[in-house]
Amino acid sequence: MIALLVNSPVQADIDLNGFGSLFAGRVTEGNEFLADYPKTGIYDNDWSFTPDSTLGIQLSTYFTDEFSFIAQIVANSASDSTIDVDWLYLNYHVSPELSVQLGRKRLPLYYYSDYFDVGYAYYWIRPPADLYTWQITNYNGISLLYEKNLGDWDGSINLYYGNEESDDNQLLGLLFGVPVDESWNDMVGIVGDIANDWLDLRLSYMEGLVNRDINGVNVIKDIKQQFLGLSINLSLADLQVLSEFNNYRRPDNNIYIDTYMMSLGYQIGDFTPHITYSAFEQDINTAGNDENHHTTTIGVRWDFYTNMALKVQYDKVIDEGVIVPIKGDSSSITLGLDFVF
Amino acid sequence: MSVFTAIETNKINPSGFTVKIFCMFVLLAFTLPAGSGEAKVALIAARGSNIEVMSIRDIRRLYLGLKSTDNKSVSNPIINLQSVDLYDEFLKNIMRMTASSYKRKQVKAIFRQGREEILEVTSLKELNNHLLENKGDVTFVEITSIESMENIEVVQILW
Repeated sequence: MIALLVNSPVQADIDLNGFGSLFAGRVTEGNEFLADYPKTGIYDNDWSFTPDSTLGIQLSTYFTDEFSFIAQIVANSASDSTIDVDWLYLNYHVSPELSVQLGRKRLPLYYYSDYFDVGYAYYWIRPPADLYTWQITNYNGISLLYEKNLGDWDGSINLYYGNEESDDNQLLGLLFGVPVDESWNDMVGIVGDIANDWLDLRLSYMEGLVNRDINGVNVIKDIKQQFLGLSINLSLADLQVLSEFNNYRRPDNNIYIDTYMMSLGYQIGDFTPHITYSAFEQDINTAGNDENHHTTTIGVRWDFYTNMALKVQYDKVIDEGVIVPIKGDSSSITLGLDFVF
Repeated sequence: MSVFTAIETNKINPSGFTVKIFCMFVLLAFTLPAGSGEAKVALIAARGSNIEVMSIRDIRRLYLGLKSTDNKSVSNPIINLQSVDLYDEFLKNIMRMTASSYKRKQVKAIFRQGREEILEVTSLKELNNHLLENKGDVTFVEITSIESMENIEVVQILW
């Protein structure tokens, strides 16, 4: 791929795109609300801009019609690191329908994984937190993307392989209270998506190996994990019906988790009111893990200006975990602005 | 005898006439293509681009940021924002979505798969210059606008 690039006549077009979110929120009942699991964005009883505010820049360089280079960096005020590199890969179009990517990409487990930080692309302030509880959000490796039209349907299949290491992982550090290093190795996944004007179906499967060191002590070594996700989204005129069902399992550790959400949004002119129910349910196991929480969300998106949307959202969390509670019951309010440029 | 004369002379029941007119409108609404009766719109490119007629599905694919599968001569689609009404009609008739839905789809395509942003042009002159400088690029314009453009060829009539 690199040899092909070197031998191609260079005629680089550069595109710069960006996105941002500026949100303030606070917990109105209870003590804390974990709004963003991977970056550990937490609201408490004081107004804060930290948990959901983000700024991202994407640089796309098109060397030829076939070759491009994509880089995306994100600064999030909740994150410990100053800047995260979400994407850094070379893209080569083998044909109009088939492309291969080499480098660093977002791990496409969930429906909104790829553009989790791009709030402008969805009506919530953030995708339902009960589902997006992943500690590893990227991978370094290779992927193949095949996109095909079938009648009125647009279909795609994405195959990927990769690894990711996360030293002093933020989410696991929060949950365990001590430094945790985590690596997901030999991840092999497939994502199939088929959509027409009113229906979008997406199926995602990934399996790989987990390694974990807690406070310098290896506690998980090459344990197999599997993820299966299904999304069914409907666009019926002004009505949007969104759903997502995921199953995560690590049988050797007796860990089985179901997450799901159902959401309705209705566009009235520039306004989109919405309501969502989401849940995280873990089967209690011999280690006593019983993480279990669900959230009801009500909000409104207002597309008040080109490339900008104001949003306000109320989240009510019920935390039913007894041995492993997350942040307890809470109600919170968040409001602010999403934009792209 | 015309229907209007018939009303004036009370030879038909006016309420029956209203029903007939209503039925005629309903029938028309279901039989006429979208945008019928409005200015015709064409897909255009620079003269000499040699772009063959594309399927509506392929034009839609192009404006979603994907590569054309019908025609290798096509390079990039350009969004004509000279008239907001024309843009909305294009989205309704070809893309089958509203402006806000299309914008969100574009944002997803850019930040999900790193697709190139589709260029938006707001003046006919700028559009003309761009097409001449970028052979193979296509855009949509009202047919009446083509008279004031130079070295342009019609790829196909869209509606």
